[in-house]
Formats: sequence, structure tokens, C-alpha cells
Amino acid sequence: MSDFSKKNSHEENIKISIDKILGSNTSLKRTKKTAEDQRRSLFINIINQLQALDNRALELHFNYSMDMTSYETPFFVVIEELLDMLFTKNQIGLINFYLYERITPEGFMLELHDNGVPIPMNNAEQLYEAILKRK
Amino acid sequence: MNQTRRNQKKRKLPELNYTIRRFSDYQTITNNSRTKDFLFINLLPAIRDGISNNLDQVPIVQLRGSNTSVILKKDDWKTSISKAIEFYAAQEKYEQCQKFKELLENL
Repeated sequence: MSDFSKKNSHEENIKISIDKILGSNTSLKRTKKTAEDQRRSLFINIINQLQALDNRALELHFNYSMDMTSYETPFFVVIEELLDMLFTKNQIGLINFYLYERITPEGFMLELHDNGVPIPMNNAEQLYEAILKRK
Repeated sequence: MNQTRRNQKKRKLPELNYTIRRFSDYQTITNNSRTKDFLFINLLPAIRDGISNNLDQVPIVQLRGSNTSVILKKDDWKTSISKAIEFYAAQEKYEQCQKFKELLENL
């Protein structure tokens, strides 16, 4: 059984990890993505990246007292306008809640409810499921 | 034959997410019991599916963020089931052990 290598692709190293766990030699197979899979995957990547950007800005602010707001605002405006083109007002509301309101400055996690039932939104995948149900 | 294949309900592949920040994370994640549990839990329906549909290989999981699935050949099913039994026995999860033992008997 081969070992992890920096020369391998990420997928190959994951395969090695799985091989070690299963004690078997697995293989990787490329699968075709449907248009919906593609859309879901893009959405999740975009949301995760937006979250990472926001965290980075906060880190710069708290660790180095750097206020990047005026530099970053135009980028965020472009992103928000692109999202406006793709999603309804209700869906944008969910996205904004997930990105900017869900976790309070004190670190508490807020929940949104639909007719008393909590809407699971612990990650971008769950956010995507939530926006599909809310047109 | 084609009709039979069309009638088979395709199992939705679970997504495995490896968040790697540095190279050593591959080994750390491999040793993590949550990773092992995730793989073994999904091994069970995959092999069951393989047995009932008489398949030569089965997809276990799909890698998140990449259109790649991980395939396990029939020749390796026994070894992987034994690994699962070993893992759950060490965790004292005997119900899980029993499910894999039954699966092993069906091979």
C-alpha cells in the first residue's frame, strides 16, 4: 500500500488515506456532474469563500487593527449584486443571515425558524437546501 | 437486462470532505475515528447494494468538491469488512460489529 506524497494530487492522497482505513486498494472514478450538482457545488464554494474572506477581514481588524472596509466594499458590492441577479429577495435574506448574522459577536449561534421548526443551517450545504425550499 | 438495470434504484453517494491545511493532516485525518466511522458506515450499504445487484465493484463515497467517487472491488470487500469489525470491536460498538458479521456471511 503506497504512502502519502507531496507529489500526489489531493485526490490521490485521499485515496491513500481511504486505502489505509479500509485495508484495501480502492480506485478513483470520475463521475459526470449534473447541472444541478454543478450549481450546488459552485454555490457551496462561493459561500465558503465569502465566509473565509469575511473571517480574514475580521482577523486583520482584531489582530493588526487594519480596517480594510473601504478597500473591500466594492468587491462585496459586486458579489452581492451578482447574488441579487441569481436569487430571490427571500433567498438573499437567508444567505445574508448565514454569512453575517448567524453567529453573534459573542460567538452564539442563532437559529431561523419556519413555522416554529428550526431551519438547519450549520454549513453551506444546509444553506443551499434551505434556499431551494424558499423561493 | 437493461430493463433490470433501469429499475435498480441508484444509491446516493455520501460526500467525504477532507479539509487539509498542511500535508501532515492526511495522516491525522486517517487516524481520526470519525473518518473511519464515516467510511465504515457507508461501506455497509455500498456492499449490501453490491451483493443484491451482483456487482463486481461498488462506489463507497464521493469526494466533496470533486466529481470523483471511490470504488471498492469485490475482491476487497472481505478485507474491508474485517477492518470494520476490528474498528467497531475496539470501540465496543457490538451492534455495528454484528451488522458487518452478517454481511460477511452473505458474501
